[in-house]
Amino acid sequence: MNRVLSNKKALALFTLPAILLFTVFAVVPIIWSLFYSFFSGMPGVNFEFCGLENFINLFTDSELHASLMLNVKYVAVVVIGQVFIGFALAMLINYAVKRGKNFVRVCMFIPVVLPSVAVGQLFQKIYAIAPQYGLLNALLDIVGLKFLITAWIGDVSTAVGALCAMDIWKGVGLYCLIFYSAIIDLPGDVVESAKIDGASSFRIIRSIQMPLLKPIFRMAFIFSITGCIKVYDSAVSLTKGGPGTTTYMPTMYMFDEAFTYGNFGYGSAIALIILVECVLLTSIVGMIFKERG
Amino acid sequence: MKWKKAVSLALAGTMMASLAGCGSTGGGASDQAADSGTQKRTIKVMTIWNEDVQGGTQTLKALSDEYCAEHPEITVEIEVVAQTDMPSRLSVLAASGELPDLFIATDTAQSGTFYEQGLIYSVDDFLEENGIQDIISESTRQGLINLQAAEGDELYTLLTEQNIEGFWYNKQMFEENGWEVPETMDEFMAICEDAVSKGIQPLAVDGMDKFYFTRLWGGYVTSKLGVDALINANAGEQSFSDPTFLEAYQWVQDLNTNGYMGEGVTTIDSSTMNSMFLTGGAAMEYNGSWVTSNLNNEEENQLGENVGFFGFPSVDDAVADQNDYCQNYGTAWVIGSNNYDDALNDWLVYVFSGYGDKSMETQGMLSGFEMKEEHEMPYYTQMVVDLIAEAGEAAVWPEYKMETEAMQTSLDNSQLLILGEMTPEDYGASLDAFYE
Repeated sequence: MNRVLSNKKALALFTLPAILLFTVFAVVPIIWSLFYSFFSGMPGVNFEFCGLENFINLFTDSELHASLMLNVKYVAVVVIGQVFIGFALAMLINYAVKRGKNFVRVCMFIPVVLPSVAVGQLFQKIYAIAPQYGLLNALLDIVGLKFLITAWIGDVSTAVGALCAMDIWKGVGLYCLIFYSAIIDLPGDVVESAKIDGASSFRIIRSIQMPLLKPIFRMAFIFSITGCIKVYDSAVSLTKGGPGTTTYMPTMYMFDEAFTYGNFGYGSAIALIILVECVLLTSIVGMIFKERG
Repeated sequence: MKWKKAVSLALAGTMMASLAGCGSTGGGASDQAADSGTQKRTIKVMTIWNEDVQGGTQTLKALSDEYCAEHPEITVEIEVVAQTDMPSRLSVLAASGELPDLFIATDTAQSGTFYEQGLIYSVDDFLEENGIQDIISESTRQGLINLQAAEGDELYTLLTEQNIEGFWYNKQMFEENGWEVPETMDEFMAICEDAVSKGIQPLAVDGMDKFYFTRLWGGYVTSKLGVDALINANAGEQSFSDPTFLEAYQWVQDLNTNGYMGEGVTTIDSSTMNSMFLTGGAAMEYNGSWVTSNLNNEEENQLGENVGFFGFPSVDDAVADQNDYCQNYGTAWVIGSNNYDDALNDWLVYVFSGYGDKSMETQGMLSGFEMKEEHEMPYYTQMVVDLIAEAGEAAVWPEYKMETEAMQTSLDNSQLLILGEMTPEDYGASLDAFYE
């Protein structure tokens, strides 16, 4: 194996398909986007070179700024929710579930494979208030918490939270599975010796398992952050960005600018901002884990 | 060397594969069959209505099937796209020169741009070249031109419906509660207040689609300032922050804050709105006469013939009459010019010459195209025909000529307005910003 890996030509051949695919599907579109961002209008109809105008507009566009701020809040809530609840569930399966672990894992993973549109429709019904109460409001009604009954996705104060809850539910199974796979691969002798030394389960998790799982946490945070920055389908299917523009994400704004309003160039410039946001946040995650690791 | 050869082979293979991929998707909207001997032709249609539901597709499909039975060389492919996705799909297709032969244009500003770029075919030319100007009355033609975005007096859109808008009410509920059909806004608000006090929801409103909110304030403005007010505002000659406009925004906001629209109005879609009204869950709904397809449907309409109609109640110092209804011609059919040829022309002539009669036969709907035969109309269709016959001046809706982005802002912010998250002043300013 070492002989093969030390052969640079062999390495080049093995990595070539991946490099080729990455170039065609990631690098070329990014360069293409950058090229488009120097134009205004619609290709084939009224496409004209406009220099840096689109980039200047990025700094004065209040709707984009509001959308980016919303996205930052959404990322903070959903990433923390998905990763930490996923970790907690993995621990729960590891320590509390004695029988049928596979069944529990499959159940956890079902929401991950469901199409976002179907999940959006499902949660629209769960959050409904009219013409009949949906599941959530009906439950609140039954348990006597009528004062909490509201139009969850129709009210500005609750719509973002409702979207976050749905996306945490949909994504948490993936992180649960990732953490669980990592936990069962941790060296058992370390945990055993800690137990012999009298360490409690909480102490073992906090002082042994969590530090050993740092690379997994780093990967989970990066997956979750990039997924959340690019959120589109779940927001469209649940709220269509509403009420008003309360849940209007930068990806939706990018799509509307490029395809609905026919401003391909400005849409491309927004796409680049989203790319920069992804790179920036994942770099921060990398730095945090590097310093502490 | 062997590695170099292998890499070269792999690259060559990848290039061949990508070229083959391009070839397989290269067929365009107007793909003419290679076999010129049979003159095969595929006509591409893009619409927003599934053929199983009522709408322009049913009429078009019925006529197209008749034509294709006589002309086996013609194949018609109908693609259904969600109404909200249509502008983006058309943008992409226009960018690649692949606009369909016939499509529904949901965005007035976009079809205006297409026309100015020569991407769509002049309807006036189509009608004149084929000598079928009589399928559209001159008043309808002029009405359509008034609603087009592009400058000039040339028609480039074809209609799908002929609609009036106003309030539909539950006659039985009105009688039982002693309510008279309101002629003034004070009477209307008194009914709403009385209904709420009796535990009845006064208005069923589709707040998810947003435009019903703007139609309501548009009706208020039209009533007070006349049918030209919204035309002037769309032309940038009248501020959206005019005191009457602000009064209208406030009125719509009050309808919700007073509870007249029921709970969670921004989560109600059109089918829920209609089902609430038609099952007696609300006293009234504001809607266009496109709702006659639901009213004529016995399974949907549990109120039978107990549904009445009234125009927008007159506000204080009203200029417009109550029968100056907001009128429209449905979403427009537009003809793509990229692949316009004799085969497409013949098919279009057949389809649109019979459109008026077929729409009435298959759906009991007024299409706005002239009918050549007498038809026995369903109850509510006849009611609309009678209302149109007695209608006053035609009014427009608030976004009728707005740029797409302005229209979207008006619609999005209307939800914030009625939820009390935006003041009438801010709402007006957000629209004025597009005319500075």
